[in-house]
Amino acid sequence: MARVRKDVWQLPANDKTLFWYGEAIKTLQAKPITDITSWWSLAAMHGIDRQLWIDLGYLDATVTLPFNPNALGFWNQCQHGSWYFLPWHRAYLAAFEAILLDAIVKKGGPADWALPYWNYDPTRPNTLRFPAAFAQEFLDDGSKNPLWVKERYGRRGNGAITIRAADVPVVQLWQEPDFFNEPDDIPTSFGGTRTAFSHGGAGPGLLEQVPHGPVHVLVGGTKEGADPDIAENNGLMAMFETAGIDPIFWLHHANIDRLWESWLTVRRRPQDPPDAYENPTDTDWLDQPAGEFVMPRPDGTTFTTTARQVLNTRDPALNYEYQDISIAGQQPLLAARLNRLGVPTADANQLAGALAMASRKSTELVGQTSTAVRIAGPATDASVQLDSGATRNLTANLSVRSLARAAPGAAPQAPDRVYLALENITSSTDAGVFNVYVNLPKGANPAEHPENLAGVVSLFGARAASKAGGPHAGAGLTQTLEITDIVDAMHLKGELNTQTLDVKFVPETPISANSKVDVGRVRIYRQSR
Amino acid sequence: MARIPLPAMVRQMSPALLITSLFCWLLLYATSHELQSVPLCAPSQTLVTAGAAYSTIHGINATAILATALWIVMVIAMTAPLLAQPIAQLRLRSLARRRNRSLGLFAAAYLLVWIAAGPVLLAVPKAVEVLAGAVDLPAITIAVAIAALWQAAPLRQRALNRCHRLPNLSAFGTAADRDCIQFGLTHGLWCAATCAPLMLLPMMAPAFHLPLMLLLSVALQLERLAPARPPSWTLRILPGQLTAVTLFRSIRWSLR
Repeated sequence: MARVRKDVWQLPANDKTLFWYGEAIKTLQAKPITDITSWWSLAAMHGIDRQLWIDLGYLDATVTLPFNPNALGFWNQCQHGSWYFLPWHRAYLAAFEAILLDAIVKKGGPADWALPYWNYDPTRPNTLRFPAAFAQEFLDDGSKNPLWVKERYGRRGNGAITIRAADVPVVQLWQEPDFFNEPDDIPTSFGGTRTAFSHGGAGPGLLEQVPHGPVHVLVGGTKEGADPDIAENNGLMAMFETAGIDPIFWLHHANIDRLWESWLTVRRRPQDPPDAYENPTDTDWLDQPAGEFVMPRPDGTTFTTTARQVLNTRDPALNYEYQDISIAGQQPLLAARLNRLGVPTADANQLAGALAMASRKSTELVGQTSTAVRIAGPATDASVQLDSGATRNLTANLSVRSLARAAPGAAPQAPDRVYLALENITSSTDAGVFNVYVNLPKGANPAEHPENLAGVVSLFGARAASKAGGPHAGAGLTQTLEITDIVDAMHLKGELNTQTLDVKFVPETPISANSKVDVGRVRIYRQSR
Repeated sequence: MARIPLPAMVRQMSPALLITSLFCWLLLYATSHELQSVPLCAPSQTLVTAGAAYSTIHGINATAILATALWIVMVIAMTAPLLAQPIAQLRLRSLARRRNRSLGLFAAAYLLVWIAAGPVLLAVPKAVEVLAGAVDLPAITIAVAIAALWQAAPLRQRALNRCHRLPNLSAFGTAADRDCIQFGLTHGLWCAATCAPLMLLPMMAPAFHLPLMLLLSVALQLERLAPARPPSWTLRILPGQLTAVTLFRSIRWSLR
């Protein structure tokens, strides 16, 4: 029987899962960073910044480190902005869990202990609260709570961690059938862009963008009134280099891993590609980067692994399953979209079933802002200039006539999907989250128009991506928000024959006056599949 | 026999650019063959002498033009495959009706940088020889030392990382044209800064000019396929040495 990773909000009274997690943390934290099974080395595998760790009191400046903290190697291994994001983090969590389990068993704990997960389910507001067991500094007996760290500042910096349903949406995951996208395309896939082994690539998948990013930042946050540009003022969870120190990190990533399992259960629709909602069968993903996922064992040795070896969580090497992988929220139906676009209900169902995939996915630029957008103050407006030719093609594609019409002998194609791509996002801080609205009525209060909300964007990882000479060459992050529904609505109201489209950025976290948060370009793409 | 699936990094290469490059290599090979029969350039096949040789053979007095033309062919042969990623990104960020225009402007600006770098690069071997005379060391030793030092330097990794940079381009009108040109110029500059010191080697070893150039091109291409990494002093002074290992390993994996 595989061990069961349980929902932290559904643990029965007197359940010992978190007690044993705390016991294991105490054991691992007592080990020096030079021990690769220590809490500290495990966190450094995700990322480490020597000076920051010293400043925060997590590293003794006199210790000789076993690995170069500035190099990408056994430390600083984490995979972001890449199609390796999910398999690497799964292997990482499994190695972590095995080391904890070993410590727990040695302390007389249960042999079936498994890491719990924090399912911030947007459809169940109670689960959006920060798990209570992690929030108190001291336990009932007056001893220090091993699940607590002080550097969790939350949305406003006062330590109150509030996640809203709009920060952690998941429905967009269920309507994306592709696991990966190619590097010469915008990142619209579930699992990320095809890349080489990458500590921080530019092509995060949908799951990595949301809910992964916002949860990191909304838990970590920035100390109230302090400058978020100084890394020391930010919460541990808000930065690659410190996230793994916070015990909640592991519950967050267990949930990201669980959402991957959920995605695999989504049913393929007729117009989806044959490998829809399946893991890649590409050997580059399965077997590479050969020998570069290096993980520690409880006995202090290391082993290398690959995506192929972590696909089945019930495999004896991993030996876990999730308490619940059912899909939160409903999968939006293509028939409903066709119906909205004007195809009669009866025909829409039939048409949705008959639609063919495009022979080749094609992505076309429709418009973009003429300059970079500096995000500051309570809200920032930007105007996307649309290309008349490309907009005309889009309008024609969405019209009922084109949906119903098909070349003789060929099946009709699904209407285009439309994306808002925020490219070259550079920032002097990681601790920022903002909402993006499209086509809001003039002077409207954004909060009253959820139908115009394109999505939420976090700056998790943006600071590293902004360093000019660094691995990103300062190109920054790319985030993609699907705005198909918003554009459909505009099309139906005849508003698409416009020259510009308004985009509004509304920060959810305070952005200090001297912070430089820039979106290099806001672009709109249409994609036929 | 089992099909060898090409690793992802290899698939990032563009067939069109590879064919262009191959064509230029053949052209270089053909001209170098013809040139060997001319005693004038036997000791040193640098491009200026090559141009001069051509003038002699064909009786035209256009040394500079021919030298430039050969130089451009050489640059295209060596760098075309390296441009797959920036060109793909350029296409993605250009309006469909402007894609060819963007590409043309980018390529022209990129080549312009290399044309400007040409006279400087061609003058360096002479300078190295003078230096070699002064310090009483073989010129090739000095060239190897310069190239190796540059390969190991963090500054070079910074330049190489910038070659991976995604362009931030305007989409419309003259701003779009300007950005494509600027992208071509900056990309060309970082590219030249990364690769030029290595090019000293074939220039200083005329006997192995073409094979060395080809070898370097392959090595630089492998290096270009690897992701960017943090700049620091390194012992990996053969460009692409790590990628070659990864490539070998992944082919072995696919064959299991």
